[in-house]
Amino acid sequence: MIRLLWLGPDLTDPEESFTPLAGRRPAPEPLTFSEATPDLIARRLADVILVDGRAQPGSAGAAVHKLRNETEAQFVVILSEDVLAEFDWTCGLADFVMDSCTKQEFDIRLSRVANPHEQDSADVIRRGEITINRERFEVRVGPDVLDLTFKEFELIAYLAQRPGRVCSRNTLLSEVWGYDFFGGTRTVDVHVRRLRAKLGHSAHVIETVRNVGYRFSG
Amino acid sequence: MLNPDVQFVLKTVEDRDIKFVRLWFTDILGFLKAVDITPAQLEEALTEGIGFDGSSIEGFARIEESDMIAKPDPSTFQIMPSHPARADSARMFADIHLPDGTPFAGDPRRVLKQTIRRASEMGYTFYVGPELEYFYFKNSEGTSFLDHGTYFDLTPLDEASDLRKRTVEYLEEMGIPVEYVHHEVAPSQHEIDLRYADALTMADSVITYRLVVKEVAQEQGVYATFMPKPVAGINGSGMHTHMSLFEDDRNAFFDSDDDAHLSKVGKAFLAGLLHHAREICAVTNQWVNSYKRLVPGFEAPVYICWARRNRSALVRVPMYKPGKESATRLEARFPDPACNPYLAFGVMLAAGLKGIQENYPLPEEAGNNIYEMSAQERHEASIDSLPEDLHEAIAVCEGSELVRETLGEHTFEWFIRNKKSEWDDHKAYVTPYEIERYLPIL
Repeated sequence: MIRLLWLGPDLTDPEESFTPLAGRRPAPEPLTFSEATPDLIARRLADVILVDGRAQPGSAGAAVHKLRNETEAQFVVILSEDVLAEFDWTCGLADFVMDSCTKQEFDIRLSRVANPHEQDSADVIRRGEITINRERFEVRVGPDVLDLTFKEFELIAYLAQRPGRVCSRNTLLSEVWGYDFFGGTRTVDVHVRRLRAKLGHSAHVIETVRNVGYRFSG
Repeated sequence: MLNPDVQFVLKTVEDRDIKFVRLWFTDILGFLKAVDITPAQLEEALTEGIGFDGSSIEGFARIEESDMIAKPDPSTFQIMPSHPARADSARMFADIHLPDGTPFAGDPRRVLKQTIRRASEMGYTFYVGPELEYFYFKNSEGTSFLDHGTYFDLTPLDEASDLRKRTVEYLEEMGIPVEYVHHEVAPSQHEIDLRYADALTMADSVITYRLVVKEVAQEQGVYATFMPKPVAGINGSGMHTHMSLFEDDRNAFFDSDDDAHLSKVGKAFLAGLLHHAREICAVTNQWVNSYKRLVPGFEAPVYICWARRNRSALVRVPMYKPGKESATRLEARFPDPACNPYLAFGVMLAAGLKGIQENYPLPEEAGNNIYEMSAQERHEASIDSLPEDLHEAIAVCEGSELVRETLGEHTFEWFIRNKKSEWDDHKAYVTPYEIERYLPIL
């Protein structure tokens, strides 16, 4: 779960004003630039503060500059093409997004900013919404941790390390289960199904390649 | 260095702040038992096992040898879906050992594992997909229905659809994928079909499934039961079990040239199942009440025969759909959901394997007229019946080499003894039926 705060020139609904936020839960809490005093920000629990700099890039930069030492939250600024030149890039932002960005790009940027310790580690595989941490045996879909069994974990980790490549049932069986296992290759199908059940709306990342095996879409 | 799956469990318990881990196993009758351990005991449990007192568990031990060891199977580690009542807990299935480290002969999971190993020595993997039916009642005191819906009915007649939906969610969170969910034929009767899996995984899933169905019902203030025939005069609850054997990627039951698309292996397995059905019936249908379900007229099988279309046959061979070789399977329709799934899958597999080993010939497919035949005609056509009651089932089972061998001496002896005593209790009981019928007139 990533807790969001929204800072903008007025109190328009963030979900309407910036479509990649649509449907996001918990919904970001909106505040105006003038409301956002250091005191208030210090008392708010947030992981990321989204700053709408599209209409007033100057006020946005100033707000980040003023508030950045008051909170542990990271600042992500929303900008548009025409204000890139005038924005104050030294204000202390963690990242920025263009207002034309897709929901997926936005979610990834947000997750990277909110979980900086997971960045660029060899043990972390990130594919779209899914983050696999080999060191912690942990798989997340967006912010949610999945409760996987060991074989389910190994299976998704093996596939995700080879995005777009077809892995046959036999390969998966010998790589994930080892040769001394006496369940047949259908065991792979059984586990893929269990994994998909737990992946919920992200189940499609594991594609079935008919008569061959499985592939991580990527 | 610890095994990676052990490391996985230890790490997950630490990272996710799990407060206690429940080790699950069943007694010989299939009742779920648990030993709870704390994270501090976990590593020892995984490497050496945890001691517990087995003397009060059905079929486990005599008093003088009550010390048992539960050794969790790390591959079954599963965090319980979040709910206030089971916050921060996880479960693993455990295998039971004696203090000297040898596997305990009365552990049903071991019985199934041994039979699976025999299949694998013959080159086969055994897959099963059971359909467990059950009833929702207002409470466990009586049989007042929750709804008066019927087959595939939808709301508002089917008040239980929310219960089913919640149950499916819970099952999927436990990694148990669901195939179909629907209202069954009888009022308040429901069915959730599980996607096939290898027999051991599936037996574990059946145990989990029964708990989940009952827990969700309890959360909503109603009662769910797997009793085979809770209400006279309407359908009982069965556990139709779809079965197939695979040799690597190939369905060993499939033959494109055969009329029923059954291979030689498939036919011999089917013949084995039919041949030994009477002997294994005490295991697949283990209660006095089980035999109230196995009567004519309620879609439950009575006569020992197979068919493709007749849904009253003991074993059905579902129609082949072109291109679906892998779905070729047998559907045993006699087991009920109150069985011990480890033992039931074990004896059905053993019966089928015996058919393959001995190359049993397959009797002819049954027509639609079995129920209209007289007893004499059935006798002439060599169509036998399942045992009439638990008493007959125990008698046939007691003489069965196949069941003795499959369950192993300890489990077999205990099981027969336990079932005989159940029958003796029942025999001495004066039932409401007798009061109702006889008291006014005699």
